[in-house]
Amino acid sequence: MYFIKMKNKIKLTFGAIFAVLILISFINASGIVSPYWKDYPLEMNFGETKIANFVLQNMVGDEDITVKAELKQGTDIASLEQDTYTAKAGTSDTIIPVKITIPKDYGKSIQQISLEVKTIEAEQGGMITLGTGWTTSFNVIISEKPISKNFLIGLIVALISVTIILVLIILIILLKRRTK
Amino acid sequence: MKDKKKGFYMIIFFIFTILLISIVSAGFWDKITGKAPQRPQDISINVVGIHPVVIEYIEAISPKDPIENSITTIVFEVRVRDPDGVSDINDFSVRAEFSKIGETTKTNSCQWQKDIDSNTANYSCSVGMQYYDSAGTWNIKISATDFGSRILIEDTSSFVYQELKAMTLSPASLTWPNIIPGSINQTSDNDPAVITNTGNYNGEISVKAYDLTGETVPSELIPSEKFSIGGISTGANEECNPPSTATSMGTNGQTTSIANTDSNPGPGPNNYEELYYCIPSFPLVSSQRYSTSAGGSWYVLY
Repeated sequence: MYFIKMKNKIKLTFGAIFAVLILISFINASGIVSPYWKDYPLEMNFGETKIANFVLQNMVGDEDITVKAELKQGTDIASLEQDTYTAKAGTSDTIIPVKITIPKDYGKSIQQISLEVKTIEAEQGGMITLGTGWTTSFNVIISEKPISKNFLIGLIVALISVTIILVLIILIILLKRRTK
Repeated sequence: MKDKKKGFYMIIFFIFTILLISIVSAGFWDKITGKAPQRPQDISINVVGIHPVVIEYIEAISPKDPIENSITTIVFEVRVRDPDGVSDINDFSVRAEFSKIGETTKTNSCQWQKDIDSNTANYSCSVGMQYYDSAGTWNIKISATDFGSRILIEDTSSFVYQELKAMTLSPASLTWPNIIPGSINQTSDNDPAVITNTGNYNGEISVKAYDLTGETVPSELIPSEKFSIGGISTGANEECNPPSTATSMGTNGQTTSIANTDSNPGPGPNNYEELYYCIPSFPLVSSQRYSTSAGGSWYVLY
């Protein structure tokens, strides 16, 4: 029992040392938060514009990072303001805004948008220099703008008004005919 | 003689009266009649109500970002009302619970902040979300009870925890020993590349590869598709054996999903994946140094 406990302790210690070593020797430590992803699509209407804010984080390392952002899919409705972004060390609030505009006469009801973000790496001297990156893909589901409650109420009021006016006109005509 | 008798009766009566007083004062009479003894006493009464509490309001939580390798504390407001007055609400019973299928449920008690009016109290709830908690819609359950009815009342809400794709990667570059053109199964001498997941992405790992260019004669290349990558290596060159135990890289600039790899979201220390690199059949190219310096770095992608 004592030896099993010791063995587990040694395993845990080695695991912790390994994790610390990984964190010490990493070359890149950054990430990106997506407001929409594969299982969480963006819903929009024809003629609508929305901005999807991706958030670049650089919380683990102690060096600033610069990334290159590129839209790989959905460029007919999505656009980027710029293609490089820098996140200072220890920050988690660098916004990469993607502007999405659905034309009124857009021909699709679903369009996938794919954004690729890669760190810009300095040459490391080896045969293959490694960098990190993230590809975020999500669907934009496009539908007709639903009729608003106010519009519906207005329409009903207008229809009732027109009906009343028509009835009044008919009554007036009938009364005039009788008086003749 | 008569005076003597009178005196005797008076003494008897006196003794009888004294005995009767002592019996009554000792509660003997109460024992006979069953009447409880009466003593003055200080009394305090907690007045509690019969109505259960009502969870009147749960603050809407906007979509929340996980923070790389740390905890995101989600703070929100809850209002509890009791028709019997705020003093009937059990402040210590107000609790928040976050849950999602397949995830560990998180609970925390809410702290009393202030009484809004005589029936409604305001509480601040906070729950810590880990960087590796899965992305998607999380359910919120608020529960509270009171001293009177003691009925546990619950109300629900939800919020979206967003997807964070984040990693650390080591080493910064891969090296090979000197290779003779035409040789087989040439493995990197400083792999594996270790990818530690510092976010909540759960899925395969991809690699975007580029041709290696000759540093002396740039027109000569080692095409990216000459490389293979595997997630395991036991010394039997599994990383050199696509497609069974490894994946061949795509053409120049193409992104390839590496089969049988997993981003392994936390908790640590097992939240990492290893990639092993190989050139299964080295092309017949001239002797010089080849690298990614001209063609571009390779990218490990989530």
